[in-house]
Amino acid sequence: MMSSKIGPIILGAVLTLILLNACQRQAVPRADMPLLTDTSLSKGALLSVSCNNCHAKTGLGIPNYSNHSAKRIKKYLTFYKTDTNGTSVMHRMARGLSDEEIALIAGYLEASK
Amino acid sequence: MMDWGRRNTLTGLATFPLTFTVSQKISAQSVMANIVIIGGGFGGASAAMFLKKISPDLNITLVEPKTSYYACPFSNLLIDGKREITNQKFSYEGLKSRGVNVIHLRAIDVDPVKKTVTLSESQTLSYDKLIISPGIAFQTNAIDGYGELAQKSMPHAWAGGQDIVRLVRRLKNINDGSTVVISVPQAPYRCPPGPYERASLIASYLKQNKPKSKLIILDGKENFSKQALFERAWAELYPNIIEWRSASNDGRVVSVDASKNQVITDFETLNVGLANIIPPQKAGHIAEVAGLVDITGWCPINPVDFSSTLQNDIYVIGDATIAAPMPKSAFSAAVHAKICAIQILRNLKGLEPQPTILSNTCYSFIAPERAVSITGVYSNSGKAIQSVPGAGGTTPLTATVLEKTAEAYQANIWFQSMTHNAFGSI
Ligand SMILES: Cc1cc2nc3c(=O)[nH]c(=O)nc-3n(C[C@H](O)[C@H](O)[C@H](O)COP(=O)(O)OP(=O)(O)OC[C@H]3O[C@@H](n4cnc5c(N)ncnc54)[C@H](O)[C@@H]3O)c2cc1C
Repeated sequence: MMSSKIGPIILGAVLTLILLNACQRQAVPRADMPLLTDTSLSKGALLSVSCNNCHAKTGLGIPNYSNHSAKRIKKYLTFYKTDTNGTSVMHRMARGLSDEEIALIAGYLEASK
Repeated sequence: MMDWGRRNTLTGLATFPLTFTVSQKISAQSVMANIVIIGGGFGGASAAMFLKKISPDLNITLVEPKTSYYACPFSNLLIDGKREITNQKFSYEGLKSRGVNVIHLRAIDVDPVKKTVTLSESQTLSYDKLIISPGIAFQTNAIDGYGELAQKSMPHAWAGGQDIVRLVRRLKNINDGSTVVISVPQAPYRCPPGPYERASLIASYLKQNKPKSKLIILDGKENFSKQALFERAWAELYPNIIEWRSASNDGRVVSVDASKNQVITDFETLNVGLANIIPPQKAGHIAEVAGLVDITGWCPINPVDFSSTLQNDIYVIGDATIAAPMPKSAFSAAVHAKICAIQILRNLKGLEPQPTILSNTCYSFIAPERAVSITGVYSNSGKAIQSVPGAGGTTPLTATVLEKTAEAYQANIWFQSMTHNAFGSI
């Protein structure tokens, strides 16, 4: 039986894998786009600087948010923030974010696709 | 004339237009400015790559004497023998191909008033904004006898390069039954959990290859990062191999005698098969030359944008900064780099600096295929960087082997992402 501690981690991993598969199906290779718009200097951009330290577009199998909608990203970050049993890196990070900050990150990541 | 001379604004020549109104004429979005970056490690290379990505018109010059960068993260895995030094090596071609002017010379002086940087072949570069990410320098005189000879035979392998290869070679040559010593400096130093990761991997090697040997960690501190997780791993995986001595338990290294292979603490002289002496540290030398360090030997910064509190138009990122409670890590250096880049562009566009939330995660290998991690979340809205209450933490002590294997996998992805973002390679 799954312990209550690792349950959420596995759930998180499974959810991200489902998402990953979904985005692999529709993946279109994109060049690194020039981004100097107000978005790239926004609060959302500043809040998102840690993300691609692990989720870079290397195509190497980390759950990659590059094709996710803001709604989906918000849903996952909110899951990590509110899931009190979770111990994964994403849980530890998301707990430091307010709902407003999560919305800004989600919006930025969608806009910077 | 050298290639870089054409592309960079040399002293005395006109600088690029800087003001908002002028740049608006060129393009509604672009900002023209001369940005010079000293140091092509995790901080400097990430800053160059990120600036070029969000503002392709910027004139970005990266000054870095070495033509290859050997990353420290993951270098401890060479001890196991499965990872090669070539996996640590990164070139600057990815930055060059994206339009960053990379100059392989050393910066030897900075004039914050004239806003110029002098390079080792006495050329001068002028800048509108200067970013410095020189990493660390060692206070080698803090340990008596740790001169040039001792640094070769008792390598720290803490500054990248190929030192780690020398350390591993020496480890392979010790006799079974030898004592290996790792000495850890007082905080602050680069990569707080790094020495204990190294201890874990050396213990793993000793257990398999030299099982009668011992590893003594001589620590300049009373406790350490992820201590409970490391101690649990050592008890489970390497029983009776590792002995950790805190500073107050005679852990302080006073001197070394390289010719006799001795490490001397306050009360004991240890005869060692191998010593890995990690000396106390300070900001890289050029930061001192540029007048960016305070009495601590590190660089005070305004946390919101990483601008120096001591000089105008100079920003310091990475290990050289005073950014505690953020640890001196590659992860932190990349976060500093990207925040600093955005704030510089905001400044050039006449926008106020904007506070944000920062984070760090350091993975440490406790065995070749198992890792544990520590995460911190921080705010830079105040005078100093502060931890966000209720966030962050470590891998739980109760984590299963499966979870630690998963963390090792995540660590690999982290390394690939970080080096991709800094050097453009996978
Ligand atoms: C064993 C070990 C393991 C580690 N593991 C991890 C880990 O798992 N995760 C993690 O996040 N961090 C880890 N780190 C820490 C990480 O390596 C550093 O925090 C990171 O390299 C800091 O980046 P930086 O840009 O400040 O300095 P560096 O990466 O050291 O780059 C500084 C660069 O500046 C150049 N330079 C210096 N002076 C001049 C000058 N005058 N002119 C021009 N160029 C100059 C240098 O040649 C160098 O290339 C580890 C460190 C060690 C030692």
